[in-house]
Order: sequence, then C-alpha cells, then structure tokens
Amino acid sequence: MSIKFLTIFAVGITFVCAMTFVGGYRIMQGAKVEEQLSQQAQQIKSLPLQQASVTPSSPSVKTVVEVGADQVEMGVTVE
Amino acid sequence: MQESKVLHYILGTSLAMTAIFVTSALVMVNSQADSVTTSTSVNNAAPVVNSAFINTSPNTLSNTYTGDPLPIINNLNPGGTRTINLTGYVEDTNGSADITNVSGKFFRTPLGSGCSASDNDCYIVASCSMDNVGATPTQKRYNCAFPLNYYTDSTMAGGEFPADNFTAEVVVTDGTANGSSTILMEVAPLLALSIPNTINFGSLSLGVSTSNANNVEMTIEQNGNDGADVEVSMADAALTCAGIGSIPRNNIEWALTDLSHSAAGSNDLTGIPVDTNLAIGYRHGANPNKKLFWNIQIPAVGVKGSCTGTTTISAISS
Repeated sequence: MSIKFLTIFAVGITFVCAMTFVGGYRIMQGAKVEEQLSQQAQQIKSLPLQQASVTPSSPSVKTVVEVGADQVEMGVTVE
Repeated sequence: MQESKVLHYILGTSLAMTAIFVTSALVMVNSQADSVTTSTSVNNAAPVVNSAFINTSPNTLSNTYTGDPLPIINNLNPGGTRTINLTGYVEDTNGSADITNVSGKFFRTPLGSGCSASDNDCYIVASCSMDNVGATPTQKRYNCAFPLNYYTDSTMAGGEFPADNFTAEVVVTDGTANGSSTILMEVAPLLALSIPNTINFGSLSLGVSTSNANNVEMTIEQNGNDGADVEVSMADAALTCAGIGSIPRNNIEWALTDLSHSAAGSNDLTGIPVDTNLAIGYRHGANPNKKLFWNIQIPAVGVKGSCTGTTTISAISS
C-alpha cells in the first residue's frame, strides 16, 4: 500500500473516531440530565404535605335567636 | 520526496489522534461502567386540603362562628337564607393544573356524606369555585357556598336534633385520587314566626258580636327551625274609639278553632301574656302554619267611630 492510501485511510479513521467520540459524549450528557430529572422527581415526591388546620373556636353563649314580640294593630269601626 | 515527508506527518498525526480518541473513549466508557441508565416517571400524588374555614363572606380565611366545644351557627335568617362559605386552599404536588374539582357538603353528621340533598339537613355543592389568588404553583383557592334555609335542622338543646351536629366537608380530586377535610359545627335553634301585623274586624253595629262566619282568621307561619307557640295579651284595658267610648279588652276573644264569640273554647284577651298552645311544628317540606281566630263584641251603647288598640303576640318555644 502506498503512503498516500494509508494517509487517507488514517484520516478517515480519525474522522470516524472523532464523530463517535462526540456522539458518545452527547449521549453521556443526556444520561446526566435524565439522572438529574430523576433526582428532582424524588425530591418532589418527598416534599412534606401540609395538613388542614381548623382553628378551635372560642366559647359562645348565644344559642337561641328569638324574634321579639309582634305588635299587632287591632281595629274595628262601630257604625 | 518532500510530498512523502508531508504525508508521513499527516499519517502520524492521524494515527496519534485516533489513538487519543480511542484511549479517551475507553477511559470514559470505563468511568461510566458502573453507572446505570435511569429512567423515571413521576407518580401521581394525591391532592390534599391545606386549609378550611367557615365564614359568611366568600373567600375569607377566618372562622365567623365560635363556640365550645363546636362552633355554633347562630344567625340563620328568619324566613330566608344565610349563606355560609367553606373556603381555603387545596394542593396537588404534581401542580395545581392537576386539580380537577373541589366539592363541598354540609350535612347533619349521622346522615353521612352520602346523604341526599335536603334543605333541612344536607346541602351539596358539586363544584365549588376555584381560583389562584394567593396560591402557590401547586395550590388553588376554593370556595363552597351553602345557602342555609331558616329551617335547617337545629342540633342544640331546644332544637329538633340536640344530640347531633353538622359536618362541613370539602373534597378535592385530581381525577385519580382525592383529599378531604371536615369541620364539625352546631346549628342553633331559631325561634321565629311570621305573624300578620293587623287584626281588622271591619265595620260592626252596636251590640253585635262576631261569629265563625265573620271573625278574623290570623294565619301564623313557621319562620325558624324551632317548634313554637305564641303568647297573646293587650296591655291597654280597652280599644279607644275616635268617636265616643271604648271597647273593653275582655270583649275581645281568641280561639284555636273557628268559633263564635262567647262559644266554649273561646278565650278572653287579657293583660297578662297567655300561651295559646298553638304548636307550630318544624318545617319538613311545606311550611307549617296554624290559625288563631279572633272575635269581638261591640257594646250595646256608648261607642262610636274607629276603635283601635295594640295586641302583643310573642313567639315562645313549644
């Protein structure tokens, strides 16, 4: 094989290796993002839930509401 | 010869870079050897009720009613409605957009939340209002309005169900899971009646008495949630006439049935309040009412013109 052919072949191999390297790096970055999302999901699931709070009421004495006396007008006309 | 030297340099550089890439790839692959590719899906979290208050004003984060041991609703509106609001915040940790509905119920506790809608004891709001006022990205504010009728069952001493109480319940859902919260309350008795404000015998001649044909029928209706009677009296000793004379108080009579003046069972009006035992019951369905019949006897002489006076008719618990 001529040195020229070997050189072209080597450059080609280098190009393929470079592309593979870049591709692999990006895949690994994606895995890292996925792992971060997983951790965030776990954090969300472990958030403490707040409970409903109802403030106890203070004593009250009024239990009956009364309607006061009705003043009824009475009338008759004597002829 | 010069070209061959250049090609050698290019070949050497390429081989060196290939070696570097391969070595780097091996190192990186080995360094990742123990890492596991993870995939996850965020599970649905059940929504919860953060807070719940009862207030007569909507969307108000405080309690109107107080009491011990339970808050007491003591301001039902005689003959009308009193709206109470069950309000607060609900939350879904998957985000507030996951919350699909908030519903509310106000029911007499022994009936349970599965009760059928009733103005006496079971108020249902299928979809309460929701907004984002004051809410975090995972919360929503809600408001369930219950227009309580004046005849809502009383659960206190003197009422129809003194051993019971009411439950205000809010339920939040995201379509898959639910969360809820409850508040126990009492409803106080409301003693209220609708009583006509006039008794008009019309025009009568001297010496005439009314009978069951022309007496005055007074219809008294329930306007509260308490069994009721009425007491009747007239402070003045007589009706005063604009012309001459007066009509003595004891010439006026009341009865529970349609009687004529001076008939057995007809009672003289007195200056001291007298319980008529009218017995107007609790409202369940049609509004209960009772009639009070009034008769008068006009003196034979010494009276003329328009005669008027004031009768007091007071509601009392039966």
